[in-house]
Amino acid sequence: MELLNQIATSLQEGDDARVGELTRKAVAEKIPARQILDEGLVAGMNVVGSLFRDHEIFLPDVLLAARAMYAGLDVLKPMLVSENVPTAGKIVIGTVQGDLHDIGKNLVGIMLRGAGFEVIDLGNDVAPEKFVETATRENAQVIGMSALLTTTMTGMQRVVELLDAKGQRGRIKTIIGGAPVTAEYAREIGADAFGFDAASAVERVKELAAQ
Amino acid sequence: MTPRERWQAALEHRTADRVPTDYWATPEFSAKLVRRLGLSAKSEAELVADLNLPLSSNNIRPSEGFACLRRALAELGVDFMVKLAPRFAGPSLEPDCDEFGCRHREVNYGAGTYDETVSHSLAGFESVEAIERSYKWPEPEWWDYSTIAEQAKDWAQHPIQCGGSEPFMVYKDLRGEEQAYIDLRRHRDIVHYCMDRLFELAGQKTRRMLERLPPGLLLFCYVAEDMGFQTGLMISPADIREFLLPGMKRRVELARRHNALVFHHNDGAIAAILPDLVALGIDVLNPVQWRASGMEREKLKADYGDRLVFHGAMDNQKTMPFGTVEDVRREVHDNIRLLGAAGGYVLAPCHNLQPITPVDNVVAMYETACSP
Repeated sequence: MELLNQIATSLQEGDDARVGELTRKAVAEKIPARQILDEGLVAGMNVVGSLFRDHEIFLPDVLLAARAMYAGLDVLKPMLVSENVPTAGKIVIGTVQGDLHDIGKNLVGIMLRGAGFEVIDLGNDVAPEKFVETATRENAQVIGMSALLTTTMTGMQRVVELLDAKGQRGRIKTIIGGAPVTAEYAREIGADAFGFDAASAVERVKELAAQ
Repeated sequence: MTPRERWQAALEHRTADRVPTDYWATPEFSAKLVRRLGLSAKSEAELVADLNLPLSSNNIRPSEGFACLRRALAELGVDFMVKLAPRFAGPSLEPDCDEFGCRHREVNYGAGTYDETVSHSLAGFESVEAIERSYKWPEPEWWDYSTIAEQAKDWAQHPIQCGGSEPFMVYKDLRGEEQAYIDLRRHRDIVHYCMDRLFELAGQKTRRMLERLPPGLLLFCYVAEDMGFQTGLMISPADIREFLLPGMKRRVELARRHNALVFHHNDGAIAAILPDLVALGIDVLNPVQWRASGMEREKLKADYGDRLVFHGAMDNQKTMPFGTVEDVRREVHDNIRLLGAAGGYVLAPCHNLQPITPVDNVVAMYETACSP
């Protein structure tokens, strides 16, 4: 659909004002919110993710696209609720204790929202207890943790251990990511999944939530 | 051979008696090292406090922690770089604020703290005019350079680092990290204006330092910028060429005028911009983060080994903090073979050693480098 293509293109261009305006237009034309999200916003963000992976665009472009995605999501949020669009699941995310570097985590958050997840973003420098308490209280299926620093990534293990101690491991799944984090490290600490980048993190979270 | 002679050999692409080495670490790790070698009865926390004193003061009147660290490095045979710094003597600053007015906070990560910037002086500005109207830039006169020569006087047999620039890092502090990247698309005039000011300030400070040093030292200017992440560049080559390289070129020329070499630090996967950096005239490339995409040691040595000296390459994401002593020894051998063939390599951790790094791994690194 032409209008949805325009939304996707404007999102790729990082034009938040235009994405907001076109999304409102699509809503006025009675296109279902889920379709606007999938074929407009998420379609655009997927292109952004793959161009970034191929080094054809760079961090400023991705950040602007994420802003534009928010502009569209803000418009759609009430529709998604009123149309009773089922959420894909609930996930608690944050950067681990001692780590304030949250650009990667924020991108994963917006991609998850686009994929239909309810995202509880605890922000940065999040204590292990807070991850576990929030996920338990909110009945989330997944905890997503991000770290840029080798010294803080060890905090991820504490979350897994804490889940274990509380008898929640297995019921609440964990996914980890960030520059120094590897699939091997995820296996080592008993995390359930590893996200290489924002797009693959979303795929892994979908798998975890479906389990 | 002296540390300086080993570095000199590496710079001239000759082999020395062994590979030269250098040391980068957080104060928390250094405190552990000092304690481990039994050089001080002070607690780790007291040693960290000593090591966190301004360099300008530690270089003139070394605190116990600082003196013990240098003794530890000498015991381990480290050919460490001596770093000089002017003393801040400007207007009194707000609590926890730096000279740019950005507020900092210590963030505890368990084994230590990092100093993180939590308020951004230029956040929210929409135009160059608005910044010019209300923001007071630091001036080179805010620092006292009178002790620079004295700071260097006992260290003629070591390489010496003096001045340099890393303005986009400061720019991110001034604007906030996300905004700084977005500015490259939305406020290019603000980026140009601020980067000019920051390059100029760095240049003025560097010149004042270099002018005070006697001739005959092995000098380096630290001309740095972080452009890469794990798999590629964060900002486009076009933006790097427009916003970073011209100012860096001026800083390289300043170093040349004072017979200083250029030590270039640039994290992550930066292979795509390396030809530009080589053309700019950098001498030493740090940290050689070889686990990042496109930064394979063999390839770097083959492509640039005749024009660059590599510094670092002891992996700090995996090998040093999480590897075994055997892993460390193997990596020392690999690095010497792959990067140090016919000189051209200074072995060092890539980035600061962190306190989660076993001291044994670090001792093994220097032992192996000293007698491979």
